[in-house]
Amino acid sequence: MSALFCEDNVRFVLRTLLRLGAPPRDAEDLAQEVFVIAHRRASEFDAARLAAPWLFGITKNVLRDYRKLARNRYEVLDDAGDRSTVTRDDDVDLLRRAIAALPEELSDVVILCDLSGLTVLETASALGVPEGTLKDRLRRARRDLRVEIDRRRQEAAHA
Amino acid sequence: MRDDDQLDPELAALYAKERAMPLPDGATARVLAGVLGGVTASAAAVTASTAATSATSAASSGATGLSLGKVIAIAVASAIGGGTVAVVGYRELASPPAVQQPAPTPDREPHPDASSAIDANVEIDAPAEPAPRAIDRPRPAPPPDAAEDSPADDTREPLLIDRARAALRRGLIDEALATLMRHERIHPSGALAEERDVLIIEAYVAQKTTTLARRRIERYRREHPAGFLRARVDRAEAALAP
Repeated sequence: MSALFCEDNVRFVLRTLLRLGAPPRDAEDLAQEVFVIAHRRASEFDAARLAAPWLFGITKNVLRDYRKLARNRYEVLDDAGDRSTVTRDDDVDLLRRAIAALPEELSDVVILCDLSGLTVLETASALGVPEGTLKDRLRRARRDLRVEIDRRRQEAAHA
Repeated sequence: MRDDDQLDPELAALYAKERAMPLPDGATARVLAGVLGGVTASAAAVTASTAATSATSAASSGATGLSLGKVIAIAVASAIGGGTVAVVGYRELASPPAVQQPAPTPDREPHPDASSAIDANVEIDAPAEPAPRAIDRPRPAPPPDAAEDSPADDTREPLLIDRARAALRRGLIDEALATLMRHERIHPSGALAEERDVLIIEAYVAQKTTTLARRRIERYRREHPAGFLRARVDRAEAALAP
């Protein structure tokens, strides 16, 4: 069995959850759900392939369902309860918020390709899009991310 | 290809900072332990005990040099007795692959309703119980009234716990508590007793039933002095009004 259940994959899922804007205090519970579903569906996983894209899909679905719950819909990233468990960094917060503000098709590319270290080809395969489309999305994602970061910095400076 | 040539230097610096951001201490081990608990509870309880015993003794002795998380991962593997999934790890920021991976199949199933992912777990097992409990506690005796209550499957520990978790996540606190109390009645010393006790605390906290929550917290600390889920109890306590 399964390096699906290895530390590297757990770290990947935890980081992906945080990058997708999951509240840090719930990230571990959500990660557990991801791996329980992965275990249940392990027969669908092609062992010859990279685990990260497969886990990424499950992670997004788990987080989507989590957010459908009314009580989780308006979670913010930085409630006080999280400060004790997660090291805070304003730049990282800024980046994650800016990523969360991107359209999903662009934020996925940033998370998989730029932050998680998948190649363009791997990311394109994971998202089911042609390589050219992925490259175009990556360019747009970086451009829009930079704009969003600058906008948020300006807002913060004038606040 | 990483397209680094087109990456804005400031953005690259932010990326590097984000990648270097540490996860909370012990987070991976806790997740693995939780998964181990849920999986072993139904898949291979006896095997799980053996595997987890090995894992625990190995971890405590330190003889293997493996981290706790890795040991637990091995225990998961042993417990499930798998072979269905080969070893394919995630290459975090790894070097480019020599060969392009064939198209993987991300999980893109539609979710028909708001509770889909969580409800989907009802037929499987709750990711909850840490391994050592399966070692420390004897297997629970068959519930005396299980056969009277309903078909046997309906009273399985993982099913009850998972049902309670799903109810709690949907905000159906009364339903969650009723299910948890049923678990407590049928499986008072079950392998998932610690998870049940923590869920009861979380349900009372969510319900703002402060007195009962505090009473349950005290009881949890008395009955599970070295519980794996202490952090969740601490968080629940912190969420209580002063």
